[in-house]
Amino acid sequence: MPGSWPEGSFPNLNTDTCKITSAATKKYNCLAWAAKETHRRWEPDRQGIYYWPRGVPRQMTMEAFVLAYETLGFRICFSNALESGIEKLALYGRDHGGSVVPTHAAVQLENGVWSSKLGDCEDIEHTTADAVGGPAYGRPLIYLQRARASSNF
Amino acid sequence: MQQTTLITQSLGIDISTIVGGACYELLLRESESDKEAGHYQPNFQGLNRCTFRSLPAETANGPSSADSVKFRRLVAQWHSERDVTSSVTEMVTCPSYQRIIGMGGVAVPLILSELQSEGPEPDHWFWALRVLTDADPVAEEDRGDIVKMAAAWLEWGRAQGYAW
Repeated sequence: MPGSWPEGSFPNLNTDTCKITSAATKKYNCLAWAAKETHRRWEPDRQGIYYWPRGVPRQMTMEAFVLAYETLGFRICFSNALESGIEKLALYGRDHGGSVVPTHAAVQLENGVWSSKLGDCEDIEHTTADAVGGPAYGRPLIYLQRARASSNF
Repeated sequence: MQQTTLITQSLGIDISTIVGGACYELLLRESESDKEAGHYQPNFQGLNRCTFRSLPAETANGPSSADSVKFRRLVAQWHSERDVTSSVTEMVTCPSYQRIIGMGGVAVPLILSELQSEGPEPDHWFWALRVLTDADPVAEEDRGDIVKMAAAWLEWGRAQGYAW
């Protein structure tokens, strides 16, 4: 892949499963991208340096990440299948010393493919949620959904 | 009009020997006669219309060449250490980033210089700046907007008297 991410980070990404859709930038991260924001980064840092939804614990936990997206109307669901009128989001995590650390968020587009911002690298579209799984992000662990707004993406 | 200059540059004396190693900035006010002359020539007579402002200790000594070389090496290492993580929290725990913080206050002007050189894609220096200075110049509504965060820190640095 011609992306700027370190080789080996995403073993499932190839020209069949992935399309680069933006230039690399640090101005937003995957958490912001999944929330449709491209002007700031979302980060639950305890010092409060970065943006994080008000009232949500600044913790690197799956629970805090779910609460963050619940402020936007998402709710936990149990399928990543494409559903008409429903926007879905995947939260990824990997095992770290016996606990799960959240690593990434991806959002499902209306055509069923998924969209991710990879770290400070490019935005991509990937055919499945699992396609960005691997040593960097672990795997999708939680799915969220909300009614799709007509203006989304 | 007010001219600002470091006394060591304008008057050729080392004020730090007078005030015990602290660094002060001399604010010289241009007189009407100076304006008429079209220039201002700092001299000891100017001291009767000047004020002193305390500067950060790092300004007194400034980073040495060795500090700059070390900083550049650690920045390069940090870029290679950090993976494709989206988490700044994870990025700043890289050993090289922590060693930059470990350089102490001398790293502040180096970081501000780096931040300015990065232009519209500032890197994640905000954590280190916060830790090293205990300052927080970013407005609440700008948190996460790294371009505005960088501008706020550069403005803060200038106001504090850092030179880079």
